[in-house]
Amino acid sequence: MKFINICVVVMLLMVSSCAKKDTTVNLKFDATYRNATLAFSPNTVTDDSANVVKYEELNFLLSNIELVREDNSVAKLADVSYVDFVNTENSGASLFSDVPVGTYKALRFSIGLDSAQNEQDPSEIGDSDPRQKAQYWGWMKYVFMRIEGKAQLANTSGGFNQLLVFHTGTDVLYRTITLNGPIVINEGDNTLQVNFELNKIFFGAKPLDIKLNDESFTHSESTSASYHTAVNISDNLQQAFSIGQ
Amino acid sequence: MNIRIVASFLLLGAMLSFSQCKPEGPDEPTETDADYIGTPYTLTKPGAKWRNIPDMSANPMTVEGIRLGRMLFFDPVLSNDSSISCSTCHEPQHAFTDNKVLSTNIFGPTKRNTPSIQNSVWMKPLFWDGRQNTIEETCTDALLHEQNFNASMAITKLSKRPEYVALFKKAFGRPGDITDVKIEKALSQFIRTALSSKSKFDLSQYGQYTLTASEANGFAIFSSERGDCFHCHTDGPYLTFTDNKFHNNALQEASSVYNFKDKGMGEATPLDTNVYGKFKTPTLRNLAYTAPYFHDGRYATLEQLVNFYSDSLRLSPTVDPLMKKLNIGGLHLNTQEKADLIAFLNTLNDESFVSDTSFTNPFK
Repeated sequence: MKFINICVVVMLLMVSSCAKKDTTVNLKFDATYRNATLAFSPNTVTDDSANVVKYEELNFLLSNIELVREDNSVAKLADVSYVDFVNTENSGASLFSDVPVGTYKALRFSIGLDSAQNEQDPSEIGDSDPRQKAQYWGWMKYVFMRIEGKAQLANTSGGFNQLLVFHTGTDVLYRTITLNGPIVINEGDNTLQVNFELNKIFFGAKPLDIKLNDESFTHSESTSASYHTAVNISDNLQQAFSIGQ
Repeated sequence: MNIRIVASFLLLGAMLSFSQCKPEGPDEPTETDADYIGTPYTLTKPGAKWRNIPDMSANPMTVEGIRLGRMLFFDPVLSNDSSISCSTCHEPQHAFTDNKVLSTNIFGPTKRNTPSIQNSVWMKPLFWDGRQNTIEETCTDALLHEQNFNASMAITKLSKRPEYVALFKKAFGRPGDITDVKIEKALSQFIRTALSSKSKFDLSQYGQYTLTASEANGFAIFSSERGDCFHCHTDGPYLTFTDNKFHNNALQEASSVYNFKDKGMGEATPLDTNVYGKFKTPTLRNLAYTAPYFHDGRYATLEQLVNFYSDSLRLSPTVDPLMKKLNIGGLHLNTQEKADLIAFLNTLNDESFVSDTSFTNPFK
């Protein structure tokens, strides 16, 4: 009787330790431009309006990254992550562990920080917090997305003298992206690739014309004549992301 | 017996299952130097809105090390011909600059303005072109390139002075020998103590000073699209007033990356033409004491500096996109806005810092 009790306890321990079947997911963002890998300055890309552009900065803060099950319950991958396509130490990939094995109907994340996350300034969070890698400007708080570059406008020959500066931020420009699956997470290492098509930021449902001064920059200042540029960029984000192959 | 064997296997299996779920433990902490006999000195950050003091376990500060570093900083003994010291260019009354357009080293005039070493503990990388990452590396570089430092000659000279022999022993413990590494460590310890944190603007953060209307308006210009200063001269919520990054701020006109008069960061990394013409963002603290301004010291006054950003931006291939108003020549600030911006900049002056006797020449 004593032996049976011991066996039952041990079996229960084994089952409880293994039933979770957690694994790792490497969430990898690839920046593309008109379906090709985005090349940064000094390389150039040509946009849908024939402007030739050198991109110099592209990074964003992600938050509330989660996989969504059929019953709408979620497996959270991370509260916050940071992706920088230019600086190699933040290569656009994030490794998440303890992800339950299973089939999910969608990947969901937000570009930017929710108001609670945005409220904590860098002096109030740990040194290893991904927010430490992002820019923080007092009045704006965290920069959600930073895109910078230079353009030689179509039908001009003056060189790359149209400067492009797009900084989105503030609570009202927080946007949640849902990418439908199915997404299968197996035991072992998983790579989940997400494409970010930069061209669609400017040629999405709310297009922008970078030859116009007020559409060639924004710092998300709500009183600025360029504020609609920050809104359009934020609203075009859903279209720009897709699950990769 | 069979029962025990089966039970043992089950127990082992359970233990293995658990062990696979355990996170890895942290690395073992580094041990301190067993020979250390100095009096520990703790550098503390001035307040909540300052970055944490970085890890200094590679060069623990001691009271004796700082005292030694201060002496070495002001003593021309380290220069090859005993003609100049660190303080020749980094004078404490000028917030550790020299008020000259271009600095002069042992070889003659250089092509760059002396950068301040105030608050270096939070500045990384260092030098206008960012060629060094740590204060220790910077001291090594500056000793070699500015003072034509010869280690064996300097050590010989120092060894003949009893006060140094004694102080090296007190600062670094046994065996008490004088080495180039200890020289650089002592200098670095002294430099780390040079913290400026008591300007009017700092006091305003703690309710001990109220900005005037003009100063407050200047800060608003600084922090908004109107002045657009915040992109480069902000370090998150911290009061460093530099992003510690490199920018081409439209100061130099150049038709090609090879035409910059000073390639800046490009001289440190010549294979990367993307960084040609870019310079480390300097802090804005103590501008009243650190004129002239920019890497080439081209502007003698804050009025000239602000006029440049207002009306004189110049195009070049690596100009920073943040200089967005380049296409119209600059910010086009009006007279009142310029005055307000300068009023704000002057709130970053810290008289207590430039008059602090703990930074002055110990030989006088």
